[in-house]
Amino acid sequence: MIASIIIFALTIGIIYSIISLSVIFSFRVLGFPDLTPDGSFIVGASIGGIIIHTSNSIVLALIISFIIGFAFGLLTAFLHNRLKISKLLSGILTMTLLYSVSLRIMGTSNLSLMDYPSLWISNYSLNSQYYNLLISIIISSIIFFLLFVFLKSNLGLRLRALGDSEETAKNINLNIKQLNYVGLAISNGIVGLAGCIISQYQGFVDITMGSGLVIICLASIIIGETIVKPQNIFQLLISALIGMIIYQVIITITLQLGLPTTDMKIATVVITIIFIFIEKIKMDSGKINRQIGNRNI
Amino acid sequence: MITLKLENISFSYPTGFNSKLRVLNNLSLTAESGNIIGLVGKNGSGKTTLLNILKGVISPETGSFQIYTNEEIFTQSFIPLVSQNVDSNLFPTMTVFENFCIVKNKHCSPFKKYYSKSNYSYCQDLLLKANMGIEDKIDEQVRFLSGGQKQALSILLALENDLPILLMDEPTASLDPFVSESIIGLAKKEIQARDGILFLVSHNLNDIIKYSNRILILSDMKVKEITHKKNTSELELMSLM
Repeated sequence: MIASIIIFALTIGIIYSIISLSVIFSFRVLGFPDLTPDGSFIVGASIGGIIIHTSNSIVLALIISFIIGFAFGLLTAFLHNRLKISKLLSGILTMTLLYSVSLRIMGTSNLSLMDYPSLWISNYSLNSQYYNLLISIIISSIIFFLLFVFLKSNLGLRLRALGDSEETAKNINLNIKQLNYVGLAISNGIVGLAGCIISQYQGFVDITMGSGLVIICLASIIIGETIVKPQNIFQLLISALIGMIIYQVIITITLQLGLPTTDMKIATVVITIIFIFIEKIKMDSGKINRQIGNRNI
Repeated sequence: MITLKLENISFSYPTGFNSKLRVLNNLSLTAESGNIIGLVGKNGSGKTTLLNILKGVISPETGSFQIYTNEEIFTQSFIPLVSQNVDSNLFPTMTVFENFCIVKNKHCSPFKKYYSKSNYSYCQDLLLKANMGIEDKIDEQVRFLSGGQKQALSILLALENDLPILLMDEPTASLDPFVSESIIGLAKKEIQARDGILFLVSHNLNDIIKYSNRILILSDMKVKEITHKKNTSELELMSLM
């Protein structure tokens, strides 16, 4: 029983770490507080669900869910770059829009994916849980590796530069608008993909699935950063990964200890505040260096 | 041979509804390769505005600004500016080599020593030649360098541009006299080696007299040049401002 709970918590943590990787990418690396993921997650899940329903093709569902997230990332960047809407509001507008878009795609507020092809095995045996854990590790590792290599590439380096100091980026004539397009598109593309993967794991798509997702990711990023104290880009990505796993383990344990599911948001906020407080104390006492990534958020 | 020509440049800042404050009025100026131009003037005389026009950040209301390389018009609109705020010249949490790659737009692989060996060794040579104590800092994050080292790096990277023209706005304001001397000395040495043009804005008139070979004074919205002699004194300059 305990092994089963731990494996479940680890699997959920590892799958959700895909989203925390893309949130750390937009918030910390690009310096763009993007709230679009709440919407791009559900739109990825809904389009993926519909494709699986109609064509039974997991690969096609994964590709299209990435593309749709990518496209709405471009929309957020467009709102900010062209229409001069603030970063925060651009994300909120796209996120709100995506709620209706997802309902339009599904035609209903929830969609069952049971008895349809899936990346996961959905029975409750320990072996199938081990299999699911392995799949989650493989998927997260691939995305982690691709993101890391991308951030070391010429284009990735420019994205990091923009988040590191927008002032310097302007000073040396980097094309900031273009970088916003690229960064937000990639980050939301990954979230769309994660929506498709996670909905298959859960066996359904529900319109409320994405709500509060960015906050959960931020909570896990803060937990990860408090533990890892990232000083380079590898450690920054690792902190997103570890943070989400720890967050999910804590939440699973508290639920097992009898916390009502209605109080989950309270638990999230309390955990976040505790870790921010720990980090603040450590910073003030000079025990840790300034960590890398954009710290304005 | 580089020639930089500003002709009849005027610029005003809006100060309210329907009112403007003119900062530069029909200003003309020519600079050529080898010029180390010291630009002085009181606060608000338009020094930074002039630098921003040269940099291409703001466009003048009237007049033209052109750069010629060997008599042909050069169509680049960007000239690097090294300011006193070192954090606006560099990317603090990235390594020296990563900063170099961004400026040079060169591929920077995670396995850099194998795949971009030539860039890496070029960058190492650049740091070595500068002789500013940063030769072994190539893989260090910029935030861990001292103020002087950061400013030296800013100058080296700014000069990795297509044109050897450099604008410096109070580059040594926060540095001690010893470091200041090496920083401006480095910029002068590098500009002269590349036969480029340096614009130096500083309130330290001693630096202006010591390092520049042309002195321009901005006052009454215009620029006037004084004959630069070895015995030009600080007081003389102040009386003309």
